[in-house]
Amino acid sequence: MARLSSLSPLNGYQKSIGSINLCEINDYSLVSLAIPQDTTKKFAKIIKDEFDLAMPTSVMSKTDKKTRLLMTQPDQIFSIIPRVDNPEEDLSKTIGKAAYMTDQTDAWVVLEISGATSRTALERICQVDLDSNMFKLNAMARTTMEHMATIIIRTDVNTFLLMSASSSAKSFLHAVELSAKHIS
Amino acid sequence: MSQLFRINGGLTDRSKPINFTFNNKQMVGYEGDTLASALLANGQRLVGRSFKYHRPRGIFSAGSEEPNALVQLRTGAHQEPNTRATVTELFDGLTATSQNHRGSLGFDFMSVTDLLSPFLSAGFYYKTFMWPKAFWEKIYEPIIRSSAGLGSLSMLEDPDKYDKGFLHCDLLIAGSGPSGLTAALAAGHAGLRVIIADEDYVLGGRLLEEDHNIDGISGQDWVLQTLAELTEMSNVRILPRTTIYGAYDHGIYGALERKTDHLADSGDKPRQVLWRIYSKRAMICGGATERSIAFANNDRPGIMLAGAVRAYATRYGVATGNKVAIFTNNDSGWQTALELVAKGVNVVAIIDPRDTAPRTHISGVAMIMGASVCNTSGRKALSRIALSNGQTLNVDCLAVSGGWSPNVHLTCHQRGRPVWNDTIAGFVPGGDLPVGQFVAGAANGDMTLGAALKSGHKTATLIAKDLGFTTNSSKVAKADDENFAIKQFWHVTGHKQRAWIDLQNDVTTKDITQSQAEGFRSVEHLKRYTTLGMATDQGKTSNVLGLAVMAEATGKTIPETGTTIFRPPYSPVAIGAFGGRERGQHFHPTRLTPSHKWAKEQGAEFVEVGNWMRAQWFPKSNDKTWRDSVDREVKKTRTSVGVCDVSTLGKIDIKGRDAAEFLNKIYSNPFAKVPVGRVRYGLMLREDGICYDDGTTARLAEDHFVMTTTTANAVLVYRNMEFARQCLFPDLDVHLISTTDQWAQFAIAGPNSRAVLSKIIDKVDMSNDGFPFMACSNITVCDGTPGRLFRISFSGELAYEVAVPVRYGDALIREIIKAGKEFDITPYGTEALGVMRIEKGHVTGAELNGQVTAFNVNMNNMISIKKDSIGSVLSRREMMIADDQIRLVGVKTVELSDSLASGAHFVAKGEKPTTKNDQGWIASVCYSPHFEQHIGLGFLERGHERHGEIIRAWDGVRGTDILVEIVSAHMYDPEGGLQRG
Repeated sequence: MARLSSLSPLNGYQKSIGSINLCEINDYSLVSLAIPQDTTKKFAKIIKDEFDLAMPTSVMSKTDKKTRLLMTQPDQIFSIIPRVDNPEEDLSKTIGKAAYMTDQTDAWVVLEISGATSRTALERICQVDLDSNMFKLNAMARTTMEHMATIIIRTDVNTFLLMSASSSAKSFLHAVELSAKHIS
Repeated sequence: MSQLFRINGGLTDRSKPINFTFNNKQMVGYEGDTLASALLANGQRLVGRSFKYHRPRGIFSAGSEEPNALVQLRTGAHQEPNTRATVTELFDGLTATSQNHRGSLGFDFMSVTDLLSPFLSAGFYYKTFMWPKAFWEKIYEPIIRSSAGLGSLSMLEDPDKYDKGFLHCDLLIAGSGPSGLTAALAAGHAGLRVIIADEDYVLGGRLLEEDHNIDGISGQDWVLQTLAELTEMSNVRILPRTTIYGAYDHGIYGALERKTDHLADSGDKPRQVLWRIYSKRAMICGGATERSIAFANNDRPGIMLAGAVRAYATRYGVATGNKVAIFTNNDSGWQTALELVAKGVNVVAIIDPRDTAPRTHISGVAMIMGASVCNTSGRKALSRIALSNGQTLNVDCLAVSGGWSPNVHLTCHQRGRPVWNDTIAGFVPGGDLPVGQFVAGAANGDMTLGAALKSGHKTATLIAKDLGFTTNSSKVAKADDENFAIKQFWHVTGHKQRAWIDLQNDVTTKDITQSQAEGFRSVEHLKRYTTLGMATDQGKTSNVLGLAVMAEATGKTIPETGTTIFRPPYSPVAIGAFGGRERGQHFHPTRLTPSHKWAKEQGAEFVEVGNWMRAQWFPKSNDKTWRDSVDREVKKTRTSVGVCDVSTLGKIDIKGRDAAEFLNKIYSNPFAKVPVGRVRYGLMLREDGICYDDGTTARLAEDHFVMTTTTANAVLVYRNMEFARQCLFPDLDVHLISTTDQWAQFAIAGPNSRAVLSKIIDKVDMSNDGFPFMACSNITVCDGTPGRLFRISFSGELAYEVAVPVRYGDALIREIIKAGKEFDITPYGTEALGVMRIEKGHVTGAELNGQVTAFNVNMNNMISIKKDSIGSVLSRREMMIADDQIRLVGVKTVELSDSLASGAHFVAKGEKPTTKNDQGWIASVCYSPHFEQHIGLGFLERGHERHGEIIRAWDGVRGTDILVEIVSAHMYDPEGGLQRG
């Protein structure tokens, strides 16, 4: 029997609206790393040793361009790594049992919004202050956009990653697209 | 009609003529005009009829305070009533019509009400329409309703788009007059993130409408220079056409930006955007609004505020009359006279009630001191005024200034109460401003230009310092302080004719005194009894005047009389703007199942389940009704095999060395010893012992469980578990994460389900011994795709649930259908799912409705007494386990042709259907193709002892009363042999 073919939530969506570029990012794997009780220091050391990254905070992600770590709650880190078939197994090779791992790759849709007016579009749906001096490079926030839970990360001067639930990916895309179209 | 009243000067662009129509009359204005200025330029004095008496009315002001010139803009579905001509930016093709008249504007049949005015004073409808009682609803109210109101709606759906958004700043400045601009400059130079917003489409406030010098250049040039400087600052955001309409908690302000109201067509863009502005500090620089003086017949077209007359001449290059008189109790009226004369407007007289020498000498103008205007005449426009000294003057425009009221509205939105200032004869902000709010300029009572500039700069500098910014790079702009002396002169007495206080609501001095005489003396009562200060202008020109007249009537001072405070919005906001983009299907997000695309291809009917769209049934060409589809799906599943997407069920991964112990506390039944590779059904209780959710939890490893919840309670269960984890059991090493969106999960049910799955699953012993009922395992499917397999059954059949990561969900459903083809596999939807679970006696949200206990659903043995768990103690309260409590039962109709309805009540035969005789209710019903009759689940007092009893199902709503047989809830395969086989 042939292996199952995969389908991303937005089927590889990509579009330019005015000066804004919107595209679905789907070449990653996302694993939740839950830190066992009272082992945060040990976990931080492993992260430092294996990825050369400091622990992320609730407002600032850490990245070495290949891996990005987000703190989603005090004892939970999201690790975004290049796409592999079995990310839990892959990560366990490096961090062993330092964290309880849960594959979250399919739970999220990731949209990248970029372009000179990306902030102007986002201010229609995002309550977070995205001013470049306030929301610095690699800053992250958990928020809502149009009733949908969202994680927003700034990855470049005018580029942001928007993560939301995969089941409502189309509604989420609609909300972001509409914001881009409504710029005037 | 040519622009006979256009004069030299002004800020309109004469090279850009604009065509528009008013009451179908073609007219021409210029770019930069408002509809009001263009109408005045074209000599259109009469623009509307008053609300109550249908009196002829003309343009009164030059801003958002306008009470008279309300028009209908545009046509068809875009038609918008009650739009103020004074703030409507002129555009090519604009169509405006007057409103509130029957017949033409010039000949309004409804003006007969003016003749009946003695019977129509304040509160007349409370007294006049009392008898006969029956007439109120059928005659009086319809007549009053059809006569009331101003414009009319198109009754078509609003085709315009609206949006909303969020802005952030260190300093929000509301208003862009001299204080606002100088504040923006100071704050901008200091490095603050500034938003400066103004409701006007050009920034500058009074500097656009008056002639002043600032720093040696004209006020208008200073505005241009300042705006150029602000535009260069990346930390300053300028929002013209934006009204700050409300001050809310925590420095949040509401703002309405009119994006395309000045264009003939919005294109595909939102017409208006409603902003929520988060500010660290805010400065209210909203200026002041001029008010009138009450005298007999002071409402004729041509009688205007003096500042407006000046604004039309200075900003728009329009003379508001050929013969202008000015009636003023303060020095700004004299300034108006000077500027009008300088622009070549024919000012015939200035009348000042102050018994002093003229404030200045103006050549060619009669200066009449110690006198007042005591009456006017002119049928549809002003033609003559009569003075208290006996003189009459033929004039076509009377500019009136009764003083200026600081715009304190935004300072009141959190119940701040303004205080009276005798020097300026107006209310100024009190000390109880919203947190982080400051006021500067005329809004703060700094009525002269020099003072406004100083206060704007000083306040912004203080704010900058307070926020930690360095402030040394901007100087305060300098200007002279013009004269601003005023005599508190509110109305001209000694005449019988009506003198208007509130032009928009036709409130006269007589109404105020009548209100006082009838005991409505509190300011709030005065407002509601007379309607003073209501409607679109919110009494901007009338409130203080009304209070002053009330104060006189009661023999009190104005501060003793009090003041009404203001609520948002400052000026009208379209309901559409509040709705924003949240219309129709934009209103809430939709969640799609992994098989949605495939289900759509099959022609599935979908149903909303929370935010999810789930396939309800899959029609086939032979199906005549939905019931045919559902019956077929049930039968096929029970006799062969069916497949259903159950991805919507909540899924929670529970990990940690204490995961089992944690579950033991969450579920009422034991979970500590569930072996790896096994699934257990669990029941969750609220702290008060009521059941709130159930589901299965699988143990995939010593430290890893996967919980399923009902679709509806997925979030609630997760939230409660997080609360328990963080607050109740913080010492346990346990971690939760929702995986609902991670896994596509399909239920495959029926006698051939094992055969179908065997073709898909890799290397798993699918025999009954190898993978028994309630087994679970991590597996691979279709040659290596990671997945999970659970042998659980909601239908009562031999059944499995197979899960793969969502990205493979679409491919997996297609493979399942392919593998099941030889067994004629059927997809089934939520209806068939519901039928099978009712036949089997499984409870869902219809039964676990927040009122029932484990005892009620016959699951009392699932509350372990050997351990503690949430809700277990309170579930054992005496009342909750009493013998006469309701118990879950099955019901079947006695007559096979009868149908059941959920919500029907159980009543004994021969008894009346009363609350006292109510013995329970039916919670879920369906037509069972297996039993070939309607069946249901319900709750009946001592139901477990009453199987076989015949009882009535009485439904007062639908008017049915049928006999049903009480049976066990487990109607289908009660021994469970099928699902275990």
